[in-house]
Amino acid sequence: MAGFVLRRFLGMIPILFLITIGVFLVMQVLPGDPARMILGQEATPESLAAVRERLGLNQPLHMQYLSWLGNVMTGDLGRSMVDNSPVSRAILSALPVTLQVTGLALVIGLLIGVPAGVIAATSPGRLGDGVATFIGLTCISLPGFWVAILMLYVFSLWLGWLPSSGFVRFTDDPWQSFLHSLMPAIALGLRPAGIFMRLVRSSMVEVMKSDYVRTARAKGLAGHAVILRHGLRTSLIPLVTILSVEFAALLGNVVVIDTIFGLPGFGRLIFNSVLRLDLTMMQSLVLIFALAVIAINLLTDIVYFILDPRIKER
Amino acid sequence: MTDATGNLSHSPGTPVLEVRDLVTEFTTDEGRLRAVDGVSFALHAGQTLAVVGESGSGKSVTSLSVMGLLPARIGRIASGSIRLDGRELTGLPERAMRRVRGDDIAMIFQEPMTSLTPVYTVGDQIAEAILTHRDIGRRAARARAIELLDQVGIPEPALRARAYPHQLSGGMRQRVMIAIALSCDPRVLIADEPTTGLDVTIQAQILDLLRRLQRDSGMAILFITHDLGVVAEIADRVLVMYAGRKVEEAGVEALFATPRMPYTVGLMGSTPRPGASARPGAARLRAIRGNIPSPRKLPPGCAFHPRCDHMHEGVCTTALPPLEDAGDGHLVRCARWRDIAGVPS
Repeated sequence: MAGFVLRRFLGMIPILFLITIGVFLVMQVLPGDPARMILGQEATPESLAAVRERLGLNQPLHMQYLSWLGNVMTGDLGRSMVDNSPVSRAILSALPVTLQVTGLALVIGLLIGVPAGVIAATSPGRLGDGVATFIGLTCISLPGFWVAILMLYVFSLWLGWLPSSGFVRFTDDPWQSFLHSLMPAIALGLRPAGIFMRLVRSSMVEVMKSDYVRTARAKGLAGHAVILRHGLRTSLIPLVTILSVEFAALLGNVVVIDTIFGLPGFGRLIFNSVLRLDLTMMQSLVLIFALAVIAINLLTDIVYFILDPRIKER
Repeated sequence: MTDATGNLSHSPGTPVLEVRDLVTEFTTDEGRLRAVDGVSFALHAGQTLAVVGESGSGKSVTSLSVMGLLPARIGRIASGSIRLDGRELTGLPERAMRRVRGDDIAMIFQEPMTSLTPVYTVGDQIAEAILTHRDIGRRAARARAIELLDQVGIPEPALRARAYPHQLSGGMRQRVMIAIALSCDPRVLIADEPTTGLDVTIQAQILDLLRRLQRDSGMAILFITHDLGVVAEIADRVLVMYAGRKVEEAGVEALFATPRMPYTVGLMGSTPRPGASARPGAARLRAIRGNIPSPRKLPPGCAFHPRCDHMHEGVCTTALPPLEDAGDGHLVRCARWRDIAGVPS
């Protein structure tokens, strides 16, 4: 196990390296002069040159890259081009918000998607299948922002059950924190719920026809033991794959959701940095997202390893 | 030619498993169809009854009917009786049937490669069967699983109990399946083509193993196969099925010495058997022409008549011939068996 994790981890280092180059280069080809961004349109050529000198923008590209990489390695992501505050501080403050909301979204997705998929798969062509498939399709089809606005209207405006915007940190008040992240998480989690449902259904319909499920029945196992222990357990393996893909997709969707619910998460950072052309911030966010996706993939591999004994041979 | 030497039809005592007039139907989009039509047989302790037929003859459906494992909502036992030690199994609620399955009646299948769940160790999968039916602890069940692996001839059973199915060969996996089947000392073992798809040497080992286990435990075996070579190896009595019906039944030696039904003769002609040249024309391998008819459109009269060399228009094509006793419990369903055998009617 430890050897497996270490191998996977080492295998990621070259990928990480390539990502840093990619992130750096993309920012170079984007239009906009950082120095002019900072000083404004009326800046004199002398002051522009001074800023370029200070930011190292007049150095050769590879030197810029190396000095940037060196800083990143030590945790220094640079300073915002808008307000000169450290980027790493903004990211560290947004990280828990986004992790909490996306994590809760995935949990909601699993809580809806997996049982619905199991119900559908164990009653193919019957009422349970029809209802579950309808729910799944609805979840996928409804746009998150629309669901978000609808929920705001119903649960905040009408019923007043849930806060409409803002965020409370988990460390300050866990319950309030949960309430604040519930609607954003549902808005984000519906699509994964539908996708999980369809995936569990299709893979489990096949598994339920398999020879080993027949063996489990022939042993005289009760229906639920056949379904959960032999049917669902082997269907979980493809689910893990799609889980990592869906998490990456969630990271993209937080822009809309953070904006609607006024959450101080990554979505807001992205939105603001793009709006203000804060290149350092954008660069750092892209890097962090790439790291997150890589970390999720590593985690996926480890979960595979635990779920499927056949992987150990490789 | 009527002496049936290997006839075991008059075995003493009540049979362990008795199937009478079993009719199993499937509901399909094109309506209801009969996969098994009025099959009867009796299986005694320590005996092996082979059910032989081509694919589509209804032999596997017969075994699934006995197990109560027909596909839900599609397949059902329309009529007939299945008795285990005199106790009626048809119409038993699922909960009660579950207690029979894997305990009194166990089953092994054709595909050992895919018949074990890939994510659990074989030891756990054997122990699971024991824990389902016996009130013992997990530790005891695991110990029993290792014992069973030893019994079915797996070397280093304690080590192999911790192996996953993909780490074992096909023959080993079939042994594990047998261990699962034996875990609760079943009265009846249903073996549905258990050696098909295995190497010939492994086939012989598995058959040996089944024979040895049967001798030790006295269980009855219902052996489903299309391979007459395997039948000759293991069966005491043979039931030949065609298009969902029983067409011939006899002791194994009687059947091989004097097959009555032209279909059985055809099956034997299409099976390579060394030293089978005693029968005229058996030296060359011959296929039965045509295919088994779909249960959707069975030919009228004897279902085999379109493929039969002895078919007589008007005799074979009108009424379904009855099952007749050709002597000593050698049952045959053929309107012309007397003519073919040269027996005066």
